[in-house]
Amino acid sequence: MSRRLAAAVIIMLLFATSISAASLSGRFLAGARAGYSMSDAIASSGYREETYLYPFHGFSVSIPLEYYFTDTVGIGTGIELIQKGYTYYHTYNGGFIADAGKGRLYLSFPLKAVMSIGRDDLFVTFGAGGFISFMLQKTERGRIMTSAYSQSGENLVETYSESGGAGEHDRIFDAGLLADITLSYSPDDHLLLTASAAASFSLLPDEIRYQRKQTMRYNAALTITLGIMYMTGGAAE
Amino acid sequence: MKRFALFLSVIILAACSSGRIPPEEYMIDGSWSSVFKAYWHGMNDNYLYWNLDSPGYEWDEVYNEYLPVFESLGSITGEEEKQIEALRAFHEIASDLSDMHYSLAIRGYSGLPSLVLSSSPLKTRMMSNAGCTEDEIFMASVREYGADGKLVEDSDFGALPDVFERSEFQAESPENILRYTIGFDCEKLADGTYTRYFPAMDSEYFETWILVKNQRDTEADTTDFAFMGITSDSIVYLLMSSFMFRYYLNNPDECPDMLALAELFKAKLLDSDTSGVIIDLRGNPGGYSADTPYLFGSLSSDEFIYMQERMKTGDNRLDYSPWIPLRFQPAAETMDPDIPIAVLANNGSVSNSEVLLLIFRELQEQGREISIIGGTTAGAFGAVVDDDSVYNAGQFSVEPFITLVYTPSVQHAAADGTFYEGIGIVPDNPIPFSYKDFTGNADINGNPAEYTYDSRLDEAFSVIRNN
Repeated sequence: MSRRLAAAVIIMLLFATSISAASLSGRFLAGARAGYSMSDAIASSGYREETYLYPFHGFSVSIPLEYYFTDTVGIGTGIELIQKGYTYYHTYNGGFIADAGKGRLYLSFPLKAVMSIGRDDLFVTFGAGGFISFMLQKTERGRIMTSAYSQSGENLVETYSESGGAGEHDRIFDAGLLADITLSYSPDDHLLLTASAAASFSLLPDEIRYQRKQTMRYNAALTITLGIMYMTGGAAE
Repeated sequence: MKRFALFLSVIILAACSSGRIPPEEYMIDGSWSSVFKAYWHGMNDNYLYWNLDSPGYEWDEVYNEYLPVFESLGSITGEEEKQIEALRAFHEIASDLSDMHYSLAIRGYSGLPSLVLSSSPLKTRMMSNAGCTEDEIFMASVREYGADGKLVEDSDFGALPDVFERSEFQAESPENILRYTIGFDCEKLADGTYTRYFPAMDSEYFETWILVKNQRDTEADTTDFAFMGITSDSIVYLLMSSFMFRYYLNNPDECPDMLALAELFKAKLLDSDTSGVIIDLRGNPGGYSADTPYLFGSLSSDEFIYMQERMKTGDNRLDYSPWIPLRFQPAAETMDPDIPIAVLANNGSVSNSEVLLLIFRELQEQGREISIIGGTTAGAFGAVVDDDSVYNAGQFSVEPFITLVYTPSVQHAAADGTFYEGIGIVPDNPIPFSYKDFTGNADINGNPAEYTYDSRLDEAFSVIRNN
């Protein structure tokens, strides 16, 4: 760990312990979260002209688990079902060619350090760590201008939807970094209502390398979820 | 938080970036290796059939194998031996490709005199099937241009071996069907009539007929013709040099007779007196796919999936879209489904001809009386689009050496997912081709034959009449 990073961690810890903290020491938190995920592909090289990558809109459902060693510092993990992908939009001389949402459904396992600050009934939790995930399904839905013609001689546009398992070149196991922030409200000693925002970035491209000069695409996702958690153990017991 | 915002900004900026910087791999610096690299990268980005030709690292292996060959040739100097060696290597690479539309036109020298390669896997396969040697195929694929820029007539290059000239692919063309089977030489006389191949003979088959021929105004090297005949027992026959009616619909003043023929054919499909229909697709190289709904929209009153297609949605070799269904587009009026149809095909039936055959195959599945007669088709599916930017793949050139790499932008498969590229459609009723019967050995005698026999067309009439 570099000296600068070590200093930053120490300053943050001092800052966290110097402000008010919820009574979380020794508590175990488990619950459920669900919400919206927005993801995109970061490509290692450019696409052709008039090709645009836009965010893909999906969902995230998770069962988060957290354990606090102190009132402020703990560890978080869980299991998450999350859609990631990108939207491909292509025109030619400004005319529509294709618009397709390319999504992948992952079963993801985060592991992160968490740090909470605030009061017993309202506190904020910061998390940072990594994840490994397993691709369950690939979907593509969109519209495309085909090479077939109508009676009047115009190209036909078809809508399509396809889903299936991983292809030969799809990366099934993914790993990356994540960071999140959660606002928690506790109406009583055991219940927590949460609102979270998380950002994740894959360190591995979505396909394995199979050619020279391959465009590599990396998933980046932002999720916004609402949840409910149950607290047990610690001072409350 | 600032860092997080910066992180997100980087993500958003990276995701929104598009547009392409011209890759330096496409720059030709006067060496053979730079021409090869431009070709290899152009193919890498634009070719469509990597699912067949490079499901793994095969195309990378071509790079590794051939780059040293081209590097050893050094600079492009116009020296004929080096031109031959380089063009032979390009021909070897192109000949192994599975895309039956594909052709590679490449110059051996930017100045004159020069050799020019025009290599096509389909032609290579057909010449090989006809018994030509590899060297004959290569020599036939090269043209020699002299210092004056004109084709050298007595060159060793460019000659087609007799055995290939007599093959089904080369001999059973629409022009030769018109000549040997129907009897027209297709030269228009001053009085508007056509020269006859059989001067003393009335058409053996047709009681009434229409022949329209036109050299396109905007594409002077393209001559179109269409022939429609009607027998005394009301069987309607259609032969086209290609699918070209959309061109005349777009240019209605250029040849109104061509459109009149098409409209008459469409009317005959709907005519209750019509006893059968024969569509002759032998040697038909395809053309405008918009002709299919225009000419044949009355075949069914229902939309049905007759084919699937997919495109590239990225530059990686296997960046395909899912398979997209293509639906038959019915016309306002429908022909009587009890009228039998016979379709003639051969290994020169290419592209849109084969697409039409897939429509007939689906109609057969629906219980229609349709027979496909003749030979197996070329297996050249896919749609060729002028600009590779439309579907992220397709034809390209890297001047001044790579004049044209002609290749489709869209892949096609049958409705059930069967991939016919390079395989072709096998007829229901295969009839062997006989050059001797078809032409009456006309070119051997040096005179027009007195009698020719088109066994495939005869079979089509038998099928219709015995229905």
